[in-house]
Amino acid sequence: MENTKKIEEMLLPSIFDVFEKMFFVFAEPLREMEQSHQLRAAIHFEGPFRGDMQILLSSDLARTMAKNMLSLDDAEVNDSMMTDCVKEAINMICGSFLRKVDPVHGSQMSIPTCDRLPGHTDEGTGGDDKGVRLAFATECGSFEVRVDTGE
Amino acid sequence: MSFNVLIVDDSGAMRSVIKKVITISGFKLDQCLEAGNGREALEKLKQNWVDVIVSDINMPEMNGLELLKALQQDPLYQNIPTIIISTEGSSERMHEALEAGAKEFIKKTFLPEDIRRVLYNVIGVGSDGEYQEDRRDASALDF
Repeated sequence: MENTKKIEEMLLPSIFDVFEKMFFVFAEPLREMEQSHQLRAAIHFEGPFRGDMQILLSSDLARTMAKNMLSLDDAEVNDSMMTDCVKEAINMICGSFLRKVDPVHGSQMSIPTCDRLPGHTDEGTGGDDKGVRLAFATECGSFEVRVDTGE
Repeated sequence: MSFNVLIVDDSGAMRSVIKKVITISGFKLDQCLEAGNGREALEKLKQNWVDVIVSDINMPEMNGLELLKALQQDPLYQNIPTIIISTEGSSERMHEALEAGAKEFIKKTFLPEDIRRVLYNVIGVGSDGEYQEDRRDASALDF
């Protein structure tokens, strides 16, 4: 429980920093978890601290992130740009979070992956009991970040 | 004087962002080459003159650290200044990159000013895009 709180405290500024600085999206923490996400990006990390991190979000939010990051019009954004931006988001959130966990020792992060969710987001994502789940609202849709350290 | 920059990142989105930042920063860009990993970067170097390399670390096939080591082993490429832009910014990893030959290390997330400042530092140009040496020569002429 104490670990969960520490993880949340270190994770929150990383999430806000990445969304605001790289995607110009402002997020507000939510108490309720949304079930309507369409995209999921995941990354695994090894080192002094080991686990998995995921971000789940709507296509609308992913489109806005790509649009803002790449300074494009709505019509110019394609699926590949959206998944690329979502992978980069989890990569940056995870890197920033791991630097806070251990600023000295390097962690090995996997290459991030991104997939489309068939519908219900709880299926096969795991981490409900042993991980951290943080939900956020933005003006273009909600997102959720999950960290599972397997503890 | 304009420069050729090689951006190495497996994320097309990140390559676009870095290219845009370099372009809007007033840096005199001649050619901007792109590669998706270290191996592709070495291929680009065989065919093009490059003044500065901007590379990520975490990439498939050949990562940024492996690229730095490959550059150091080749007399043709060992003097090309390389800037690492990475999410992996622990002091151990930064030390590893600098030991392997990187000139500067920028942590993601970054501001456009971070890239501009580091590029100017590494390539030795002032904020007007001119070589510092050129400026010294010009001021010498004034006398």
